[in-house]
Amino acid sequence: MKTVIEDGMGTGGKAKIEKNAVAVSTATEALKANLKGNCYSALCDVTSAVAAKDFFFLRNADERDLVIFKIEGWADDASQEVTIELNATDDGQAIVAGDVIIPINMNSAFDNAAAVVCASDATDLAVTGGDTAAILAFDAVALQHRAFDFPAGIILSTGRRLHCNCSIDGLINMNVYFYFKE
Amino acid sequence: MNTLIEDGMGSGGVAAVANNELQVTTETEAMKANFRGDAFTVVADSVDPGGAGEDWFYMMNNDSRNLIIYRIDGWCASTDEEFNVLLGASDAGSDAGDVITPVSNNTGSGKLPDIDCTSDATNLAITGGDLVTTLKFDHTTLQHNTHLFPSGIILAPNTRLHMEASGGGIVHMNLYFYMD
Repeated sequence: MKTVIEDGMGTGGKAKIEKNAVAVSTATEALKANLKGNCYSALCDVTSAVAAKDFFFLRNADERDLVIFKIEGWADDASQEVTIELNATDDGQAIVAGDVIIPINMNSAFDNAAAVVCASDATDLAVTGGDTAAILAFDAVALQHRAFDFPAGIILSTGRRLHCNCSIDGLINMNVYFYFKE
Repeated sequence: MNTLIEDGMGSGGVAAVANNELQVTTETEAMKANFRGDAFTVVADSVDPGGAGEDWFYMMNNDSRNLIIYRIDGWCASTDEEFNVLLGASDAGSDAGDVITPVSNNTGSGKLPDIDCTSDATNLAITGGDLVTTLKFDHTTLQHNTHLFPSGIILAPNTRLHMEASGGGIVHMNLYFYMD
């Protein structure tokens, strides 16, 4: 029996065969989200972060899961380490004392804002709790850029928090890329 | 009951199974676009942005399709150089830059995208835009660095992207995109 793969959504679309292989979409989930206007970057530029203090905060206020797929950055001290904490129990000083970060839509056709609370600060944001999910060292050369991809994503479900603290004083530039899972 | 998967486009092709695995295409979206003749590079070669805060690179998508940037790489003379990438400016600024013509990444294609692209050592003085990312190529002079964008940076029809430098010094930049 011969079968054609049809669109289950009723568009009438049918799957193509190319050189005896089924043509499939290889668009990343992040690209799919971006095409729908649901992908954002949050940029953090802290001078100068204070050792062992919380300098970045992100809470998902959307009803969808927030998926972080990439973090990149650089620091002016080659020994700097950034600890990523998940599931803090409060916002600390992020709302009242932090510098608000408004994530930017990565598709110029859209200006819908991300439903998040996001802030950075050189002074301790003093967030309570959290579990260490990763420790990042951007590079052992000062001010050297390094990127970290997260194939599984770091998922912030609705109302959940992520914050970062640093191991030593210094400048930190960090770009956090995320999308909302439809 | 055996089943053969046929081409929905009517070519008569059927899907193969090899080593007990259904064969599917794994070409990236960029590669698919390249086979169509819709993947391109713009090269900013030896441009000195001039100084801090100056707009040195500009793109506008005049096409009816999305322009999807999936990779930017390059190197700089200044180890401290950073580039702010902004989306959604409201004008082309002075539009006085050196025109950059995109090059197709497929030698079998003569297609070109409908875009405006310029770079200049003099400030292009573009108005507006939202800061979507900051690029830093490498902190070793003239060391190459690559930035990949798994989500793409999407330049919708009739919208603009530009870059602002943190300082002067020669820059080499390759920006890869496809139209879809």
